[in-house]
Amino acid sequence: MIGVAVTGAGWKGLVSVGQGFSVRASKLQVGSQDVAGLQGRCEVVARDVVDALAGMAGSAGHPALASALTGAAGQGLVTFWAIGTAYQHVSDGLNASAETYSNAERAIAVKAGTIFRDLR
Amino acid sequence: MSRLMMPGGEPAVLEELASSLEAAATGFGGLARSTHQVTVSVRQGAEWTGDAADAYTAFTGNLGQGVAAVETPLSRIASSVRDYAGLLRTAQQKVAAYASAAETAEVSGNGSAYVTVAQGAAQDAEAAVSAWQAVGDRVAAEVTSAAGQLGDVFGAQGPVQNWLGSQPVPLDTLAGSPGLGDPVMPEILKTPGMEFGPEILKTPGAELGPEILINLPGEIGPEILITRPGDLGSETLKTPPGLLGPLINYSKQEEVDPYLWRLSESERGTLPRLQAMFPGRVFRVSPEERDGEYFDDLGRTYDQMGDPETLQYWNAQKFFRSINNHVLKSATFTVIDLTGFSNHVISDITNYVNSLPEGQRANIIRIGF
Repeated sequence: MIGVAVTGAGWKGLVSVGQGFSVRASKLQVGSQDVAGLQGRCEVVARDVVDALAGMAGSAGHPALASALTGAAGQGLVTFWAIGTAYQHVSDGLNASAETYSNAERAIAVKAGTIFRDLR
Repeated sequence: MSRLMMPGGEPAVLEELASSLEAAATGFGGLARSTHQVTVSVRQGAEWTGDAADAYTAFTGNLGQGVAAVETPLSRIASSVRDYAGLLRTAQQKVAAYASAAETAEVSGNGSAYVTVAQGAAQDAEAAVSAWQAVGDRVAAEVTSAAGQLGDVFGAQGPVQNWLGSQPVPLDTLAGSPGLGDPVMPEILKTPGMEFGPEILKTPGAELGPEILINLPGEIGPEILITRPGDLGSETLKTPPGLLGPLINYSKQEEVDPYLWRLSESERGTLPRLQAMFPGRVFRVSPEERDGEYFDDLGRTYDQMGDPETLQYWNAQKFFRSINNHVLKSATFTVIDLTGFSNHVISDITNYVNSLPEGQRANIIRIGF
């Protein structure tokens, strides 16, 4: 398939280009918010984990164990930072993709309109 | 009678926190399932195809696996700490029972029946304390192992790890401050505390690079500050209330005792001398003054005395009284370090120490005599 189709009954907004891609950009926009929600959930649980580990270190009464728990809390923060950053990347990526696809869709529509007007 | 120390720690708090950690671990399991559902439905709902969509699926699949992989190490830690808390409680109960039995025996005028009961309680308590110390070491190793697992949730070659590795390192404002070391290297700075817990500031590996400030919970209230994901701009660092000690740069040394800051200059000087005298033991700084300045790998405590600065206003009788007070304290040993003292003063102190009862002399470690 060569070319694009941007409107049509039941598939408004679906862009399909040859062997490249197809997508409903508005769904990606909504998905971006859903993933941001997951990121928020992650931060809440991560905070609980770090609080628990740090609290354990303070209540252990055993120097080696307290040190190990403190280390685990530090490692947890690094890991949770990485996970949170990855969620953010997905959310941002979906948002940016939605915008890019929408811009492409609009540009294609304008271009196609110009072409067909020229044919009249 | 034995000189048993009551093990520190709060078993009830540990059990409560273990429950919190188990709940959080389960929360990560649920989050992983939600991540799979949401990310798959986004692609399906958008009818998204193509290379970008495939890359999205690979990335989010790896992300979901990483989130799921958090659950197991956290559960391991929770379970181990719960086991430890049980043995800690038992040890504390046994030591308390021994203390009570010993007091009863003493009040009875050391009647043989009471002494026998106290000796039995002492044996029980010693066994419980040994078991507690052993399980503490084992759980520490388990926690360290689980933390290692927690640090490898995405796998070395997964798309998330590859992407994280390509991210710019956030500005490390503190490591770049004058006098705080080479800003290129990761820094671990600690302001250790006592009742309020240590404050820990870490700039982990260069590939990730956030600054993390943890203030362990305490009466002042915990503060946790982390560079927010995706925020690569300047960072805000808080100095929490109740700052209890100086920042120590841990990146410059292989190992620095986290409580070294507690010691006076003379106490710090004695520690390596004590270590040299007993190379088979490992000496650390006690987290609290209550049980002396140091403890060893057998849990024995060491109370230090001897500061050359006191020579400026030397009072022999005062020093002798201080020796008496030290040997009567709860520490296992009193360390008298006379390094830097004059020969005349050393001679006087030696004579005094030699005049003490044998039982007291046996608990005195002499350095610089």
